[in-house]
Amino acid sequence: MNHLVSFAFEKRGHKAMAKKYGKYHSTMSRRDFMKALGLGGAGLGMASMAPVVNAPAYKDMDEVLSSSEAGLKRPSWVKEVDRPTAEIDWDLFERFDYGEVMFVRGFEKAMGETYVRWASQVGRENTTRWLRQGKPGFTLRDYALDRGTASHAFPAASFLGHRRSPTPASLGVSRWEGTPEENSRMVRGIMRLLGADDIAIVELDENTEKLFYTFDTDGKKINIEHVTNPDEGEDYRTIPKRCRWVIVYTIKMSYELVRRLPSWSAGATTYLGYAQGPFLQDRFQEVIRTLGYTCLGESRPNALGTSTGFGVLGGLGEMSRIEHQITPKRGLSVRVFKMVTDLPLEPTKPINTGVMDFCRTCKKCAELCPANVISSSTETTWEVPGPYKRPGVRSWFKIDPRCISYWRQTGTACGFCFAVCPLTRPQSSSYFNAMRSTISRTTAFNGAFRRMDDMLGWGARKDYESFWDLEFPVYGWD
Amino acid sequence: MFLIGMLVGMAVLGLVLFINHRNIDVRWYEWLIGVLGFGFLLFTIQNVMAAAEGYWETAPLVFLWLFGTPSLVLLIIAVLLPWLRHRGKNRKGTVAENAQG
Repeated sequence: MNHLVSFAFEKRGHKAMAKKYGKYHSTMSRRDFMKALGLGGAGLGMASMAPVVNAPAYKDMDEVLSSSEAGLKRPSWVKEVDRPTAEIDWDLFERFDYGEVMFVRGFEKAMGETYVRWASQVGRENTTRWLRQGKPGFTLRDYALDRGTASHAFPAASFLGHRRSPTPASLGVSRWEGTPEENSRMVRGIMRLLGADDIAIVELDENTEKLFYTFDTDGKKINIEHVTNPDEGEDYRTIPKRCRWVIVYTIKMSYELVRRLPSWSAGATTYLGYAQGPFLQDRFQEVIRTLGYTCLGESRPNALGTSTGFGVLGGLGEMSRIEHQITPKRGLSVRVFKMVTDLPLEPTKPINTGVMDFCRTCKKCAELCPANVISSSTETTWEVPGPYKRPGVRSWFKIDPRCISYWRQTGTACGFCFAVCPLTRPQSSSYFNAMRSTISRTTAFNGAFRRMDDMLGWGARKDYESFWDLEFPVYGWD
Repeated sequence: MFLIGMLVGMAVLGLVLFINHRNIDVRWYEWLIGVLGFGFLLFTIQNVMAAAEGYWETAPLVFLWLFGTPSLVLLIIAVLLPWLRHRGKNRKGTVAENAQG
């Protein structure tokens, strides 16, 4: 209220009065207020009772900018570094055709048409058999949930945005101007409101541009050119060079479901994530449009460029043995999305939380992978296993055709490696936080932590039917 | 968290009042052992509860065994040492009083 009075005085030129009332405008977030009262714990308890998804509620843009949600919040043990822990040889690293990956032509190219047909046939037969048998995790109700969520998992989002909101020109005002720091805080605040869990920013240069695909998920050529406006045609998309910032963000998956992968019911958390990313993107593109800037999005999840690459460079997470990024807060249980904008933003740095060193020792995913897909070698390599991977990153590489073959035969998107990873564990346990803190500082206890994970019996749950007895929080977000 | 903080605060206050009232001599290292034991106990309770909430079967038992046992041992030592000394002092006092009487 005081802010409105302040604004009214400011409009009338009464600067002193505006200042007087303006200073009463509280920039204290609800959480800070509770902390100040020493009731942080009680506040957390109350927050858990909040409706829907506990999205922060803002009254105005000042609150967005001053909100603790808008800052880059990372646990204290996350170290920012200049280069990602996975080595990248930018001379060797080139833009890549998405058509080469398993989901497009890669599987057939690697295994042949006959094999692909056979794997799909096996998948269909297994599906029918398990449905008839009522196999736990693969019953009709599990399948119904899987198919129901999958049916809207890849909604058609727009590269250019739907362009429904007004522009500053149509409103007769000048566009929003802020420093990159202010803009970044604003972007984070808005994106948190729209459902993003963590947000990072990568500035494009001649190297990071290589993270964009040459051809997109739908086969359209991606051009990055010195043009005034972005464009999209039947067989191309053009990103103007002035769009220098990639916003890369995560959507949470349900931990309770991740640990039940690869059952049909648990697959819902993957599909829900894929639906929530475009939900956010559609709205965010409109926000940026009304601010007077361009925001280009993915035409469908995983489009435009490599999510792991952008995420690792922006410090959302670190490269792991399964070639996915492991985030500090939620391990592997996230889905990653990206957008490109010309709104000047402050880039975020890569991080080191000891993940690669832990992966070097642990190898749990490689030992337990049902399709024997994950490399069990201690050291990383520059050598890629096939044309479906691009060289230039020193990492561990999965044998993707074998992985996808398992998917096809079981009619799932597997994800068992997500479930067993010792770094994807409940945040509620203080032991887990102490462990992450320790592995980010020293490698000395990595082996012990792996053994402890086995002892605790943490990891995948095979009693898939227990899923139906759970009382879930909204979206299963725990 | 708030409730736990309140309970811990009340327990510590009660303990200090009890020690002062009974005039029990507690050495610095006994305090240290006690604090460590209590820390372990809180850590155990938190993790057992978190694991139980997550429907884990093995994890609560492992946490109980791995962190709960040392916490109990440390707490017993922290209580036993001052108590034995206090009892010894009282006995000596009683013997001296009897000798004088």
